Parts: sequence; C-alpha cells; structure tokens
Amino acid sequence: MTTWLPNAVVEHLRVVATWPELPGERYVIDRPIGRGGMGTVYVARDTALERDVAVKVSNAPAPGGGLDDRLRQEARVLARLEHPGIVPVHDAGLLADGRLFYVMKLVHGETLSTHVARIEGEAAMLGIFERVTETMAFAHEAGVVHRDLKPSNVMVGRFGEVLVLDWGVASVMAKDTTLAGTRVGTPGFMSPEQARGEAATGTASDVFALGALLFWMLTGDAPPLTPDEATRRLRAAPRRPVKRLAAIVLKSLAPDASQRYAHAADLAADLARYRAGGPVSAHRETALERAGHWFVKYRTFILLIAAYLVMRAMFAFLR
Amino acid sequence: MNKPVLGALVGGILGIFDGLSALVSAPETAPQIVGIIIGSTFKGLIVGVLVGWYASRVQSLAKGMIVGLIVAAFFAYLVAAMPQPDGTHYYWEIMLPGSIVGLIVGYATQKYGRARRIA
Amino acid sequence: MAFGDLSEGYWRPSYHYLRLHWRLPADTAEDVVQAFFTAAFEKHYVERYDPTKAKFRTFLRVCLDRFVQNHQKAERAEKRGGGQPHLPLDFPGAEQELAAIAMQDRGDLDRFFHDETVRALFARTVDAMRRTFEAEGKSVVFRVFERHDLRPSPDLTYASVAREFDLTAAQVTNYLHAARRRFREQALVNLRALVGTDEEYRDEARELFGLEIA
Repeated sequence: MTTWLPNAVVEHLRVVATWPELPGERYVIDRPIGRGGMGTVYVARDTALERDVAVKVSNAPAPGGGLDDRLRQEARVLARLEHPGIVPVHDAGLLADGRLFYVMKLVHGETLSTHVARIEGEAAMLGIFERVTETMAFAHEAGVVHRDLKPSNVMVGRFGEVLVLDWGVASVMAKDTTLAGTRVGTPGFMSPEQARGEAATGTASDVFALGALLFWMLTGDAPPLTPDEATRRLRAAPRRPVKRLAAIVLKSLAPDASQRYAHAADLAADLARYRAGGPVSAHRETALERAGHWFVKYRTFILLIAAYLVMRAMFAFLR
Repeated sequence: MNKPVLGALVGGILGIFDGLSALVSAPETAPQIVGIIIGSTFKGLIVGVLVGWYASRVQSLAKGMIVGLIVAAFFAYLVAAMPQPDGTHYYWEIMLPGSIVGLIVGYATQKYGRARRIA
Repeated sequence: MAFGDLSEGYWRPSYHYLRLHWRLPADTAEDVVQAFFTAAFEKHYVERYDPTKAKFRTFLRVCLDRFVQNHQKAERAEKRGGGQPHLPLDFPGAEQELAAIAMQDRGDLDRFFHDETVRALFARTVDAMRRTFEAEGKSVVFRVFERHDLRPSPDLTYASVAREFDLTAAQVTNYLHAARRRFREQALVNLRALVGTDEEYRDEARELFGLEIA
C-alpha cells in the first residue's frame, strides 16, 4: 500500500526538507525572506540578545560543496569588512545536517531595484550612489572586489542606510574561490572583461558595475554595449545628466579597463567634486566652463567685492 | 591659519585698498593719503581680529557676516566722525564701503581658517 | 532512465490525469496506463526524448495524450482484446486518491501533471524511508517523522510528540533532523531517476526545494 500525501503534506514536506535546524538554542528560525543562487535568508530570533537577526543558509543539497565554500567566503569577506555600508556578521556555523549558515544583522528596507522609483531629485539619487561608491572604495582598500554589483544587491534601509549585499562571488586578493575563466556577475552590470570570463578581474570591474548602476539610476536601463549608444541614451534620459556627470558615467563604463577609474575611491572623489560644483577629471572643461565654475564657487565673495567697487564708483561719480 | 589671524590679514589688506580708494572717491584727500591708509589698515586689522575671534566661536555664515557688518560699520563711524580739515564729514563715503569690507571679512572668516580647537 | 523508475514514478500521475482530464472510466484508465507503460518500454519512448524541446514530464504527458487518442481510435475500429503483459500497479488505491485531488486549475495541464508527479515522488520517498528505517532498526525515527511531518497540525509541537512517544524533546529534534535529511536525499535520488538531463534535474531540484545542485 503506497502512502497517500494530501496537498498540505506535500507543501509541508517541501518546506521542512530544507528547513534549517540551527545548533544550540540561541537562534530560532521564524520564516524565509529571500532566496538567492547561493543561499536562502531567514528571519530568526536571537534569544540571547532578544533581537531579530537574518540567517543565511547554504542552498547546497549536502555539506561540503562549492556552494558552501562560496558562502563561507562571503561570511569571511563580510566579517573582514567592517563598514556602515556592509551588513555585519555576528556568527557562523554548521546546521545539524552539516550545511553552512551565518548570522547577520537584519536590515529592514528594500533593494534599490524597487526603491529607485521613489527617489526624488538628482541630489538624493547621487547621495545613495555616493554611499555605494564609498562602500566599494572601502572594500577595494581592503583588497576585496565585489564582482556582482547590481540594483538588487544594494539595500536601502528604512532610515536611509545604504548597504551593499551579496558578496558571494567577491574576490579577496589572491585567495579566490571562483574558478579562473568562470563567468561571474550579472549581464548588463558585468564588465566586458568579466563577460569574456577573464580571470584577472580587478577593482576596475567593480568601477564598471558602479558606472552601470549610475547609468541605470539615470536612465532606468542597464548600459548598452557601446559608448556611443550609452552617450545617446544618457542624452535622452528622463533624468538627463549634465556633461560632467555624464562624463563620470561614461568613464566608469569604458570598455577598456585601463581607461576607467582604477578604484572606486577615484570615482567617489570625482563624484564628490561634481557634487561640490567643481571640475571633474572625467571631463576636460573649456575656459568658459572653468570661469563659470569658478564664479559659482566664489560667487558670494565676488558679489561682495563687486558691491564694494560699485559703491566706490558711485561715490566718485556723484562728486 | 586660525580665524582671528585670517581676519586680521583680510581686514588689513582690504583696509589698505579701502584707504587707497579715497584717491578715486575723494581726490582732495590726496595730501592726507598716508594717514588715511594707515588709519584704514589699522581699522581693518581690528575689525578682522574681532570678527575672526567671533567666527572661531560661532559657526554661522549669516551671523558672522552680520557681526562683520556691525563691527566694521561701528569703526567706520568712529573714523567718519572725525571731521576733515575743512570741517566736513564723509559719513556715507566711509561707512558704506567700510561696512561691505566687514561683510567680506565676516564671510571669509566663516568659510576659511582653522576653528578653535576643542580641548 | 530505467523502466522501473519510469513506471513507478509516473504511473500514478498518469492514471489521475486520465481520470480527471480525459474523464476516462476507471477500467479504461487502468487499461490505458498498463498499455502506455508497456508500449513505452517496448517502443523505447525514452529514446525519442529531446531535452532541448521540453521537460521530460511534459514529453511524457504529450506521449500519453497521443497514446490515448490512438487508443480511442483503435477502440472504435475494433474492440481490443486482452493478453497484454500487466504491471503490478495499485489502481484501487489510486482510484481512492482521486476524490482528494483538487484539480482547481484544469487549464494548466502541465502544472497538474507536475503536482501529481511531485506527490508520487514524495510518496515513493516516504515509502522507501519507512523500509530503510525499519531495516536499520530505527522505526521510531520514521514514526516521529510520520507523526510530525506527515500528519502536521498547528497545535503539534516537539514537546507534544515527545510525550506521545515517551521521548525527550531533544530526541524528537534529532530524529526529525535525521528523517528530514534522509527525505531530502532520497527525494533527490528519486527525482534524478525521473528526469531526462542533469540540467532538468538542477531546475527541478531548485523548484522543488530551492537547492542548487552542483
């Protein structure tokens, strides 16, 4: 006699078959909140500190595979990168069935993919992008390359915090768990050298992804393959950027990695100069543009001196 | 450079030019121009130090510029109150440009210069 | 794919499909299932499967549809006689299950066939687990799993199951870990035997359990 399983039991079995049973009694799993290629994220209760945390569990069917290696790598990268833009890791270990998990801060918010629709104005948009760039600059400084930056990997928290997620394919200097020649990244946001599967992808690959992210925030689309088409689309974008900002985007998206900013920090610096109204390295300005920026920068001073000179001239004239 | 020193520098330089400008706005004062420049520079130095001192304690562009305006106007008034050899007073000619110099010093000391160190 | 896996994994979904979608009478559905799997074995249906065109279960369902059409034509032409080899299939059991199957979305045939395949896959897995746990002298592990996961209810807790079986809550936790892991592993083994390619296996495992097979 074969067992008969009603629909409710079939669904229950699907869930419990992979339901993580954490060792000890500290963390109690509540519900799944997201699933990626590498792991599933659950909300859990940390009974020791009486707070909710997020637990990421490997999607590997059995312990010890490549997926576990990537999850372990991600946990270690996150632990190494202590930065407000990176989710802090609290704990890591093995489930009762041997699969890997790690515990991290639970962030309430939404990914940039959905949040972007509610961003009002260039300043707010660049504010978010600048935070992502600063986080990446920190990671690059620590020798870590993300390699899969995209809108769904950026989380905007309820209180405006901006976090870069999913460091599972990150490369840590010489210690790299992804195979040489393996394509990592997401089409549209991965650099040409990543798309070709080149082993030597470095910080400039993340710079490309940052450029793609900014392009996407401005136009609503991932960047096209050619710089000419990218320029055309930027000009037609709803949030049409001025020349200097467009130049920053296009320099980040240069097909040749050596033509891009070398590090995210260089991009961040150029962006900060743009936001301060100054000249940017990505755009060679004409004398008129330079004068205009100089005037904008020192306008109060110039106006005060002009007022003084007008006053003096007026008195001389009245005599 | 701390803010009082910066204020003194800006105030002093503007004071020199302010004194020299008398040659244009009031050519008949040419015989007394050296005294005018010295007095104007001295006035600029004092205004600069006071406004710079204020800026090192209060970080507010608006307040700094208003204080610069008032202090410079007050010292310009003291200068303007001294009659010329012919007994005339140049209140407007001295106080209006002098007040603008105060605004400039107030702006410069708020924007630039090292603020007071917090112990 | 072994013939045993093919018939064991798919005969029950096929029977339910014929009864509910084709509205065949029970005895006709039995005949068609018997004939279909016999023909599948004799005429090497599996070898005709092209993984670039469809999933294996879709291919099999389309084969079954064609087989039924041909079967009906043949029946109209001449009454078929007996004499075909018979597979040992539990048709009365499958018939009893019909009433419990909610075929809400009759339009999505592939979905229905998929759901029934999963049901059959899990049922086979549970049966295999029962046998192996008993053979290992660990039938209590299976009984705990059966109580907690095969007859789930909202008021059931580890503590209540522990009381029922005179165990500690920690033992119940451990037994459930072991049984669920065994279930997952066995279900994946059974699943691999039912699909045409490794890629299809990876897709099905991802859809079924959210697992990424290397």
